[in-house]
Amino acid sequence: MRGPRHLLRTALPAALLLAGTQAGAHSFGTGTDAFEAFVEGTSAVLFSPLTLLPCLSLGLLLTLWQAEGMLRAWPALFAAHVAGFVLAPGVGAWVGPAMIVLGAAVAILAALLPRHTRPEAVALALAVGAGTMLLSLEGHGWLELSLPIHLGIFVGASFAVAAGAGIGRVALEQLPAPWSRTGLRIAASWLAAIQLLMAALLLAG
Amino acid sequence: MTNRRSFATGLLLALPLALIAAQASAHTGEGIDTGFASGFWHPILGWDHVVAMVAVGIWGAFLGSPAIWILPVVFPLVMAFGGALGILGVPLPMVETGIALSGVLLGLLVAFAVRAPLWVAAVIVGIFAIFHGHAHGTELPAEFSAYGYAVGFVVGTGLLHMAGIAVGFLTRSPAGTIAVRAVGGVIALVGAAFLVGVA
Repeated sequence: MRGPRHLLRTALPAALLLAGTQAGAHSFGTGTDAFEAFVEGTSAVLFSPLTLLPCLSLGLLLTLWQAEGMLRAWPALFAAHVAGFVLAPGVGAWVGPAMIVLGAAVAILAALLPRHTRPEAVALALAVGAGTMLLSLEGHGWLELSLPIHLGIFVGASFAVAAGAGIGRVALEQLPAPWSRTGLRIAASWLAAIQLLMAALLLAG
Repeated sequence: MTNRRSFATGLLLALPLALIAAQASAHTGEGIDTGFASGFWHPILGWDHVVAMVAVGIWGAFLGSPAIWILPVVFPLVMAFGGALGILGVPLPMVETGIALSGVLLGLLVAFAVRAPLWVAAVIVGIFAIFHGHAHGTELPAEFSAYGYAVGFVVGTGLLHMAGIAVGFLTRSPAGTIAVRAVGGVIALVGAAFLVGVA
């Protein structure tokens, strides 16, 4: 029988553990700032609306395609990340508006199409995956940045899509079937609207 | 005894969560916060926008599935297109008239419980969405985060649709149907007030 005293013994160490907000000593490569560089790489993807919103839109579409859609499309997504990394030195500032227009198109498809096919899902994963890396590494030469930054960008690029897919899957599993898909498609329409406006703002300068 | 134990459990489990919250730097009033707030309140504080957005949700509920979700999906998409036109400086004639007219027409459609075909409903809603979006796009405040403003006004608009759908669910009872149709009449009157310049 677990009483309040047992819970107290569990909760107090948990409180002490979780109250520690900073732990600078545990970065890998201590003294080389490798962890900060890794975080900088992930932030380049996750904190930029131009990469985050298209990735979230793709994640929603993949979940609307199949519950395991993210896992099934991930090989193509990762291949596109590698291709984007290879091609990134050759791109210019045009890639920002192009990426947000692509993200809007993905979100519109997620919102309006009742069903999705494997070719559509894979093609969009290839396009968004490559675009994410092209935009995050825009104009930088191969390995011009440090290795942890590149690692962070690769991780962030997959995580951003996984976040959208994960939110979608939780909704599908926790909410009643017709309403969960409806809710995801409405969310996709909001993402599409936001990205259309951002595209206009970028074009307007 | 069980209640006391569950209270103690809740209290103890809440303790770690309370201690996690060490910083709250999101509400600085700068950048995206201010832009988001500006965009969020823009459709909600304008009655001509409010009545039309709510009417879209109510009419969708009246029409039933799939219109109940297609209309709230179509509206933000086309509204964003109108907003993009406004941001890019593409002129659109009689924007304010179109917005006021949307309240009148959508209110009447609800008041008379008009069950239009889905494509007709989508076209009607889409046309009016362009006017609403254009107004939002041209009134974009220069001093705030434009991205935050875009997110805010899409979310604000979407929530008004949700409110309309929630009101529309009253149509599941005969008395509720009468009340909702009366709301439609009020919406049409508010739209008319804007149309003739009273409001």
